[in-house]
Amino acid sequence: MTAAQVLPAEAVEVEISENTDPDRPWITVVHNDPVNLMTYVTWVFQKLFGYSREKAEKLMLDVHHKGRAIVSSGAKERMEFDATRLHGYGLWATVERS
Amino acid sequence: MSFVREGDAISVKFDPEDVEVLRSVLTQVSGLIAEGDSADPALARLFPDIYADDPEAAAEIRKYTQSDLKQEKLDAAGVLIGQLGEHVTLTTDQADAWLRALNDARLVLAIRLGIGEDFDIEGEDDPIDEDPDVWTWIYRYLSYLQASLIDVL
Repeated sequence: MTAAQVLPAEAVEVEISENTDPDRPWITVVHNDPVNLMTYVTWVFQKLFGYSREKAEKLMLDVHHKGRAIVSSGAKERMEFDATRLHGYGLWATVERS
Repeated sequence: MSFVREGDAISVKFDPEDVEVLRSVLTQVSGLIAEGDSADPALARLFPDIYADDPEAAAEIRKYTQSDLKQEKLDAAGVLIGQLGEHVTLTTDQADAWLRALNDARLVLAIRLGIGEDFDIEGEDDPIDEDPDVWTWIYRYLSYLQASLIDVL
């Protein structure tokens, strides 16, 4: 991700802890990329998930600094739906087991 | 060429040259999406695998999602192209389509320009600044427009 008018930021791969929750076995992960604007990513999280600006910004910063963030968790089909919607907005999203 | 907002109406003015640049770029990106060449790295970025470590599962889910996703992207680009002019007024739904279409165009250009994970913004050998060709200019222009539109939402 990059700030407005600032061209690419480096992708940073950092290991993050993911606690396993039996009720939410799958997660949707958004990965950092050097193109998407930080303000745009925040806006997409608010729009698609109804997150507060504060929560959306925190997730965006996690993507930016840690290289990835878990944006939703739950049933497998629901995560596939979320990832596909994120692809519709050009974000790089994948689904994983929690 | 910055977006402004009064109440629910979002508007922007473009120079005739900018209208033609936007029309040309968005039409090319649309063509690329419509063509759907899966070997094209730009399309791999627009349609990423949902399962990074399981190509079979990724291909399986792609069967069900790809065609709708492709149509969504074509529709968004179509909204932008259809509204292009020297004075554009957008509803918030149309602004949503513009943002997605501008973003897809930036993703495609970034792949073409080699703006990738190895790109170092702090580096002295910044290929973007040393070679400000027309596509780099367009990439920056699209970035500026997208940022300007988000700012008024």
